[in-house]
Amino acid sequence: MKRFAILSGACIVLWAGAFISARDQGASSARPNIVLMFPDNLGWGEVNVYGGVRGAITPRLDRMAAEGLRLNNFNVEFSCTVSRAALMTGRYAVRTGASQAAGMTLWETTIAEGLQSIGYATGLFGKWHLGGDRPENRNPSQQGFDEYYGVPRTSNESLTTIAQGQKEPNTAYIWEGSKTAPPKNVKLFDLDARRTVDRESVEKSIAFMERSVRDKKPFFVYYPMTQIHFPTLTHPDFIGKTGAGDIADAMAEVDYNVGRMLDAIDRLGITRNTIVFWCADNGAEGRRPWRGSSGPWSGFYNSVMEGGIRTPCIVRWPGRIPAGKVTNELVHEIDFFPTIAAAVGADIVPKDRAIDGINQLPFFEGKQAASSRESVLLYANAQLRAVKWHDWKLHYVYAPEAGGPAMPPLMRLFNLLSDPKEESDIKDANPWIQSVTDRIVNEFTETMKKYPNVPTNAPDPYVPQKMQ
Amino acid sequence: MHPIHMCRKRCSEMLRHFLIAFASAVVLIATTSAQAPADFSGRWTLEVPAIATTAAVPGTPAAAAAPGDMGSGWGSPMTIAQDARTLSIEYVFFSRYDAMPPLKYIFPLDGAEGRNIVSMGRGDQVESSRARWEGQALIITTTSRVSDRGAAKPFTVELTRKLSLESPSTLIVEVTRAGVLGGAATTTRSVYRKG
Repeated sequence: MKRFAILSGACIVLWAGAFISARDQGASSARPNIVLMFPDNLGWGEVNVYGGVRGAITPRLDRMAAEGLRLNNFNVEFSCTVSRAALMTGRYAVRTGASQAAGMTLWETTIAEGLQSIGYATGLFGKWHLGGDRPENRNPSQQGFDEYYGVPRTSNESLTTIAQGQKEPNTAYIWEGSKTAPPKNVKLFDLDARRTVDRESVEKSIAFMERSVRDKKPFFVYYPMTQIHFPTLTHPDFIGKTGAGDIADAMAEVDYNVGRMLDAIDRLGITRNTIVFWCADNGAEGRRPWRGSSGPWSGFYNSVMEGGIRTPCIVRWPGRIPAGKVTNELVHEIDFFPTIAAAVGADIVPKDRAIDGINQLPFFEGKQAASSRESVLLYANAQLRAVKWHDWKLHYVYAPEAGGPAMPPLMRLFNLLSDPKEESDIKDANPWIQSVTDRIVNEFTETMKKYPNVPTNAPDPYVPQKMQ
Repeated sequence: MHPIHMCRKRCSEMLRHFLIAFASAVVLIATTSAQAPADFSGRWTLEVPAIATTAAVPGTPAAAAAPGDMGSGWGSPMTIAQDARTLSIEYVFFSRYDAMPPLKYIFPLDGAEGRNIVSMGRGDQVESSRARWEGQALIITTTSRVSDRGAAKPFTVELTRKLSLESPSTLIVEVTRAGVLGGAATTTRSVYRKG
């Protein structure tokens, strides 16, 4: 009997030890993988499930939406670089001082840095555009990515092969690098390379996921697609594929590459442990002959009209985010960082600076009915252009055309449910709104006293101004 | 007392009373004349300041960079009709294609409450107003109830407009919008020129 008791006790101890060990391992492996696909200059009207205008060319995105959450009021910054800065940092870009010419200071902490710090494998495959004219000095490995491949700056360099900040042809390159190797030029970024870079990037993304799974490491894959930014020239496999023009062909390619990613996730058996985000950096491409579709909204990227800052966004996490949910609640790209932090269960959002993002996980999971966000500030670089508060949008400076002048009356009010195209200024009947939006602006401005904005073009190493 | 003396004294008192009464009447007429209500009637066009080209101040309302404001709430040009009982304001809001009549607001001037209904595609918005004179300025206070999903419950908004004539050809409309939902009040000064 005594021997039995000792044996039983030993078994219990062993079982408990094994349980605790398994639980710890489980906790580690249970941390979800993060896949963030981020196409370029892709308007609302390009995706079937969002009422696409070019035919049924996005079956994989449509299916992804059916399997996840479709955000109908997803907001971003108005242009490429500032949008990427906001996405990566969880901060309105105006705080970061990010600019196309200078990029973003290394003082900023990115999602990749946060996830890398807790053991995630991190990879970027596609367009960076946060390094300015000298991207080698502000490259992805310095901002938390273990490895990267793609376009240092932006797609239109392929038209001339002249890199931003340069004058001579043949200065734009596809690059690659890692945390152990400085960036190196792989090949000239010309029109042929422009056509194939997204395909190469998806294949590298898939290979990266395969390696991470094999290594039993949770991973963060950031796949900033270059489509459908101008020049909207697709992979040779997609030339003329849809019969609906270059943008439709490019959109079919985007859909194909999304499908490749989702299929790989399924094949690797990590579907239920992988959060997949798909959203665009800003509104529709506006440059002819590749003028995109903003769907029901007015305007194009480089304006803060809805067509410039409201993009399609689908989030999928089977078992956690209810399938097929559609919402018109406000969400912003800056919310991704704190939301991802909550999803991975780690305190990785920096606390020494203002963070504008809000954890939306409870809303995404259906644990709360409404978004945690009630407003969005819309800047055009350093100028505050408009504030959205729920369904209202007050323009402080109404400038509807990308890069165009402000048009009097500068202050215009629209209700985006009753007037989605922002055509009928109803501030005369609803002048109270200014009290609400001014409060939001003033609260934001107050935080700048404690956390001054990083000046545009601030060099590295950046040291924050002394806080009040 | 001698009757003649008595007559002189009475006549003197009567004269004094008459003079006092006459002076009072003059003062009363003068006072009444000074408080006669200003007449805002006419066609008025908003004086629009040029858009500033100075750089925006990051993080501040764009008003800091450009002279945009919420205006008087009455558009431009507007036509004011005024009589002893009411003041009405009319202006074109919709385009010809919209085939809608001009917007018209009527405000009683006898202290009674007036109601104007505004339809901007979001149902009828009922605005209740009272007007009062403050010297030569007309103060119109307007309230309405707002139900919006952004607020937990309906709330009342209040708008106070002060109309005054800076000159016969210059109308000033100062608008104060009471703060709501934790925000502060804001004030706008609009200058209209006659014609």
